[in-house]
Amino acid sequence: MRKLLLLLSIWLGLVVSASAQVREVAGKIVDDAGAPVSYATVQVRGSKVTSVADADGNFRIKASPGDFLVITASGVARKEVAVPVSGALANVVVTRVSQNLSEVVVTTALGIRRQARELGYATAQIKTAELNQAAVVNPATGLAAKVSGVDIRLADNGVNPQVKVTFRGSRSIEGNNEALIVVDGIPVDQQYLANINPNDIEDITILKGSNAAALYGMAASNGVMLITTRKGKGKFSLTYQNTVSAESISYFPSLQTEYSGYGGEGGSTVNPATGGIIYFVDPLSGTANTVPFENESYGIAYNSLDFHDSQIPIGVDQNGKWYFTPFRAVPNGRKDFFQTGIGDQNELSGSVAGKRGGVYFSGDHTTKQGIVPYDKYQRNGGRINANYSWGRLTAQIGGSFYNVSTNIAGNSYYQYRPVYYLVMNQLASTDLKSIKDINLFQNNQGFVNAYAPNPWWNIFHSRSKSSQDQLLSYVNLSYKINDWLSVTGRTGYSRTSENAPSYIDSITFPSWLLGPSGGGLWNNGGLANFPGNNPGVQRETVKAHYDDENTDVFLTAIKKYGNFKFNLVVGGNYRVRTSWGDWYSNQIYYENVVGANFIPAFPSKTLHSDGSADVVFSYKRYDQSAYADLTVGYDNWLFLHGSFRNDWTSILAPGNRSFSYPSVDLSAVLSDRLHFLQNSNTISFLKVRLGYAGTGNVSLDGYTRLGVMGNIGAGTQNNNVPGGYTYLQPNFGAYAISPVAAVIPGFPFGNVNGYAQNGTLVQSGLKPEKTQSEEIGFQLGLLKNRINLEVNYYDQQSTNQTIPLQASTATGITAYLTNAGKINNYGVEVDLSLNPVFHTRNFRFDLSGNFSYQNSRVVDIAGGAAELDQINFGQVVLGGIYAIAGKSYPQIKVTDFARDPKGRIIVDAASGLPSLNPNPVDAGDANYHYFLGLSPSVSYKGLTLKAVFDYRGGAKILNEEGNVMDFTGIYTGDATNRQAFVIPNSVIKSGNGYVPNTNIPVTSFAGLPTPILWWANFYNQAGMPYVTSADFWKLREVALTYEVPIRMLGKQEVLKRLDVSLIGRNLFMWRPKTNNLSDPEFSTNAAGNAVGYTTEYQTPPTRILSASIRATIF
Amino acid sequence: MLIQYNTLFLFVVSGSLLAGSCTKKLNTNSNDPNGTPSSQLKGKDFFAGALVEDVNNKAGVNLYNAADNYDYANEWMQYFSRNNGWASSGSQQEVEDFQPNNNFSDGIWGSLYHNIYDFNFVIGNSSSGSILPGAARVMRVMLFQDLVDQFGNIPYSQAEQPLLTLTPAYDDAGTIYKDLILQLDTALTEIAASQPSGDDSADVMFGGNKTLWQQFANTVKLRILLRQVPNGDQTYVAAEIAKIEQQGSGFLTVDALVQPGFSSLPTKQNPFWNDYGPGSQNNNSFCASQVMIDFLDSTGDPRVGYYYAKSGAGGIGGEPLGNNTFNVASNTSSFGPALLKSPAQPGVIMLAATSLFMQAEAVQRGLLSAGSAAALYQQGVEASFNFLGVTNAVAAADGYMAGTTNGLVNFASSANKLQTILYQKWIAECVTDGLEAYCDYRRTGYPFIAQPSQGAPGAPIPQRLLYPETEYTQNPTNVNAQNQTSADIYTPIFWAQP
Repeated sequence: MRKLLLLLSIWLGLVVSASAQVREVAGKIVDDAGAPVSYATVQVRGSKVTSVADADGNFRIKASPGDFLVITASGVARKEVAVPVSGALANVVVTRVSQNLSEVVVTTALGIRRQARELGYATAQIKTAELNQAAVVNPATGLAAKVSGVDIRLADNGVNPQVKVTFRGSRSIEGNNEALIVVDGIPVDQQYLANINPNDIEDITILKGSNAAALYGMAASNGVMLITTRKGKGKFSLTYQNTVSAESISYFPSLQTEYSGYGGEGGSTVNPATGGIIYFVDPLSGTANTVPFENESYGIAYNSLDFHDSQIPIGVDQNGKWYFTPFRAVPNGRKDFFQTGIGDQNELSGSVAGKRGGVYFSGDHTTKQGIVPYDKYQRNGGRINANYSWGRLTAQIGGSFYNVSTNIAGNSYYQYRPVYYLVMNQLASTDLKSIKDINLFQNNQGFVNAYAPNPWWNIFHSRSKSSQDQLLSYVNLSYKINDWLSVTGRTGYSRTSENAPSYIDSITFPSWLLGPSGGGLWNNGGLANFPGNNPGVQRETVKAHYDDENTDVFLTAIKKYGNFKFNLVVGGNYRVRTSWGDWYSNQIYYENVVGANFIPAFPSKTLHSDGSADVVFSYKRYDQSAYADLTVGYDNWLFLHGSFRNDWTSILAPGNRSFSYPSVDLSAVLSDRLHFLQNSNTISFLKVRLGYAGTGNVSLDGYTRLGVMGNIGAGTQNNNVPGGYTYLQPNFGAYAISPVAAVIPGFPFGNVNGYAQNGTLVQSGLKPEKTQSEEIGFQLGLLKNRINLEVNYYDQQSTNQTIPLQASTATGITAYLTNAGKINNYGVEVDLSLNPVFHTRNFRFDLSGNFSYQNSRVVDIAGGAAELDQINFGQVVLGGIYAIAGKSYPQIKVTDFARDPKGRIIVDAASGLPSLNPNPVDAGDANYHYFLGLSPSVSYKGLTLKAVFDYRGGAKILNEEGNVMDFTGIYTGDATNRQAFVIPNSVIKSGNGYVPNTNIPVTSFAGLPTPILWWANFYNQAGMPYVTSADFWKLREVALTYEVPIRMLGKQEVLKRLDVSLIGRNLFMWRPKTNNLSDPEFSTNAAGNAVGYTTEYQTPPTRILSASIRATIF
Repeated sequence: MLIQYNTLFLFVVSGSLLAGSCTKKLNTNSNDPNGTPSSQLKGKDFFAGALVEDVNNKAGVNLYNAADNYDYANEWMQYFSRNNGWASSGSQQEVEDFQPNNNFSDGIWGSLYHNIYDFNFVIGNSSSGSILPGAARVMRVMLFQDLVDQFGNIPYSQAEQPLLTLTPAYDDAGTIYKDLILQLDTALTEIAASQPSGDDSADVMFGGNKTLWQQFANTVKLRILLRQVPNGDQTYVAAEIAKIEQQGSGFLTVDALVQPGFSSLPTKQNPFWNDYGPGSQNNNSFCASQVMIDFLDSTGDPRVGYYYAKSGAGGIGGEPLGNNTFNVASNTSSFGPALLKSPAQPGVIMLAATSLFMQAEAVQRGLLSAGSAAALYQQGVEASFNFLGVTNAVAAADGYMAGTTNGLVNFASSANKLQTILYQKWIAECVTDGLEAYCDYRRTGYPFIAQPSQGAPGAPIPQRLLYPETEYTQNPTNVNAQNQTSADIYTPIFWAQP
């Protein structure tokens, strides 16, 4: 704040009127090759005076001698020139930085800078300005919708969500499909993306396909994201940016507010506050009454006003005073539990360079609150990059250190439920805000219901913390042996260490709740015993670290012979990865606590005398490789490129350790060669290209899930649901080919061992997966590159899929890991930019857009064996995420009602109830096929408005939170069909056929009233009703930036530039009406391949509004 | 130029050194520090664990998954019920409504087949002369019988061979039953030929005692054969029972109990204790069955106080299955002192009482020549009292039988001696062997239960479980060939009464 005041006082105090020597200055803007730069914006530095150059680069602007003109245009570096005392400006030469399709230099594999025109494969570049225009915290989120072929998927909108980055869809059924992230030449885990200050990024190069990435070998079968951080440049300058943001819930499921609590209980209980009896079923009418301690909302309507006590007792304070909640619905009583989370990003960076070297450094302090109260995120860290040259030797050294810590609400003491689940499981009469002060109550919680404890209890008594330190360092030495040959050695080391303690406090219920031997308010028939007194503070801690040492040594030779230019790289790579984790818990009970299986019976489990236990995991993997890469250029327009790499890995059996990746591609800049194009006024650039590459992937690496408090408990019900917070320890596939035997809990007893065979059997002689990729594309620049179009088509065949074929459990095993199956992955990518679409002297409108179509089709799985042609690799409650031969990957399959051949629901002739089909039913594609990103940009004088629209289409999503909501009857849909009704479009079996059911209603039986029977016992057992279209349009980013005219600050040499921005992220989402439960972009299992479903373990979607100020001094 | 070649030379040399040092490192992943692969283990490392797994499967696993074990059979046989403090849902509701679905069977099917897979490992990976392969074969037969008794036709000849097929075809239940007898013959031969060995310490049931294993094998044989009476090929059954008598080792007269060294340490407890012991969720959530209490009270059976604990109110009370009406917690009883002796109590594979009552039935039916039905019946009741730890068990048992003229207790005054034997077998197997009682119920109709579940008024107890959901997803062709529908839950197993 003090800084802000200072800036303000400078501004106010120094405003002086401009001098009167203004005249009109003319000039022409050209690039370093002498070609005119069209439509550049020219601004008098520090003022509002702007002008836009014409197509030939000519401009006129009013300025005074001594003023500086700032030239900006897409694709060129910002340039400042002084206004001469008299006369016109000479040609203003600007440097092309990208987008001039003819001269762009890009970073390619191994960090080698190449002319883009030479490349026979698709790449894309994105600069910080564009990446970070909406002041993102995680740079990956700033990539969304900006580049074709790139799919960014988030777990949710929690404080530190997992992000999955994939290029060009999926190639592996069970293996990793995520792009390799390389920062300054060093490969890092995708997780590292969350720990990088977006302002540190100079640019990101995306190597989308196999040809581009082949030189990285097996690590890069899914493409590479090359992140180059800033280096020291120019005069010493400091830049400070502060962004303050407010995040709030944007979409919340629609909840019914008509009906009160009831879940099918018999009997009655005494209301201890009044002495009156609360009957669960009205003894006179036999209809359901309200039950105060229920989480199911199938009771009487609130407006029926015949609830005996008209108030619902919710707790007793320390003095014995009773508290009640009125018997009526509270609007937003649940939604208002969530808060507006405030975020604060502070970034300071400095840069300086001299003749021989330069330094860049930065510091970052970011804090963020979640929408869940008291959830916190903090990032602190910095980076330094230095480079220096001694004659032929160039050295670069640098690194970063970040600490990222989170502190979030954990799961409940009972059933280990997350906050969102508990919020959604309250009655409509619950006003969660009013019971925030849980210390008021005797049992420290304000007992709103017996099955879903007060979520505030989680907030104050159950915490999951994590502190992650991430160090990345590199040294890069390059020695120029002679004018055509140089040698480069680069070594990088990264270490991530985590310390993640979590706890759930003990809880003891007071007597009013339990009663001395039953008979307390909630203890009708032992009810409150059901949640159980918690035996003590439960503690779990995960400590882990991962290390990655990566060394490359390579020779680079560039030599010309006549018209031919040769560019050769020969080198080798050596990489060691280790990981270690210690998972501690003081809850070692085998299965004594419901749902809790804190530390599984893992062979390396150690029991301690105090009843706690540790499991220690450790993994180590070695890889080495040799590679060569040759480009032959003919006359600087035709390029033939080939590469070859051989990898050796320690994780496969000796006979299968060595494998190779060849690639070859050809590109031609036709606009430089074909006569009619050379002289075209329309076509300024045309390049065509064609490539083939073979890459591979050892799909054995994955993660060992280290659970945190109760998450494994939830996991026993569903192994793929990461509840709240879990730790994934990379195992690198280190010992995957010979799975260990499980130790039966309790063993060994003395010398007696007790093992069980692993449920997975591995084929001997397992081979890596192979991907053969073909790619074809062209780049077209029209009207002096005012219109740029790039189109790619790719087709990839991935064979030898490493698949755990799902065995009938009658084989004794559950999965056989084998090489089988084939995926065909293909798609089209289109990038188009119009710079500008339209302009006047002070106004310009630019538009860029990208479109991708992608599809990964499973060709076959088990060589056509019909029984094995599908794999469930993501078990969910109502079905699974599958790979199915002949279908797009992956598929959602869910349970459904038994239906007749016409698709009508078959119901029982007596009860009117449907039954479930034992065969799960195909419910659609889980991955998006169509991606469309539109980025319009409008500028008027110093004011710029940028927006990003994002469309994704062609996918379905299973919203499993609907199952929970229908179980409890809180969803608006549940407010209908409260009476017996005939299931629409249902049929009854009659002989060999079916007749429409017109008169058999769903009737109650087994003591269950119709609404519970229908919604909680039948309807929600079928997954099909919860599958909806996942398509959406989002207004993902809006950024309004004003470049404050510095000249208004008068003559001062401190502040060089000041930008003020107002930013919105995820402002609006448009989705089909049928999907009103979640943000379809979310994926519970964000880190894995099993996308396509969301659960109540996620937080609701949010929108973020922020204000940002950015100042450059010196 | 010299410096250039030197640099090149250095590059080549360092490159080759690097490559050389790496080759060794590439062998680093042959020993997993995190555990031991099966290939480095022997049969004796699996046998004790596999026995405990069987106990675990019988004992039950958790409240939310009545389907992971034989809870369902225990509840159907009126051994215990849900107390009405919580509303029935999920698999518990399926039990009470007599509508277990396909998902319900996943755990039972999967854990039985995996248990057999581990016994197979013992058969294939034990030292020669060890008793373990023969013993493991007996266990395997017993487990396959448990599968047939619950599902009918099952994968058998192609099962348990993942390298042969991942989608085994189903075999006819009767054919499997015949093969199980042959398997037991092989097991008896193997056991007879075995020698004491270091593997005996892994036998935490009979300590390597050949006679006990032979008797157990014969008892399992009798269990298989008796299942087919009176609804199977009686000539075959008679001939096979005659062969057992010829073999000469006789039948089990002691309880087949697994005791690896259970103790009060939290992780080393008997699985049943761990799941149902005092303070556990199951203990709080289930209670005595009112049907069983009423029957025991009506016959003056002192075992009621051993099976069920005193309620908060001081008496013994329960709930009928599927109850949704009102009864207070303070009036209901949980599991009693004989079922929850201590965390170190052994796990039950088969009770001596079961063996004795089966022998009594076989004699009574004229299938066994040795012994008297009355004497075997008496020993059976005595064995039950003995297992429960009743004070002066034999005298108490004899007093109980002599103290009444009720034909369901007093063998001499019984007009239907088979009924008497089966009623007492049902009582003896309370909670410890619900599946066996459920089989007898389907075979003979005993005991008669007027209202098996209030959750499904008027409906009879199902005759089998449906094939698991996992078969429909992972072995669809073969399971669909069985043409099962949900109505088949009332289709009897081949040996059961139609």
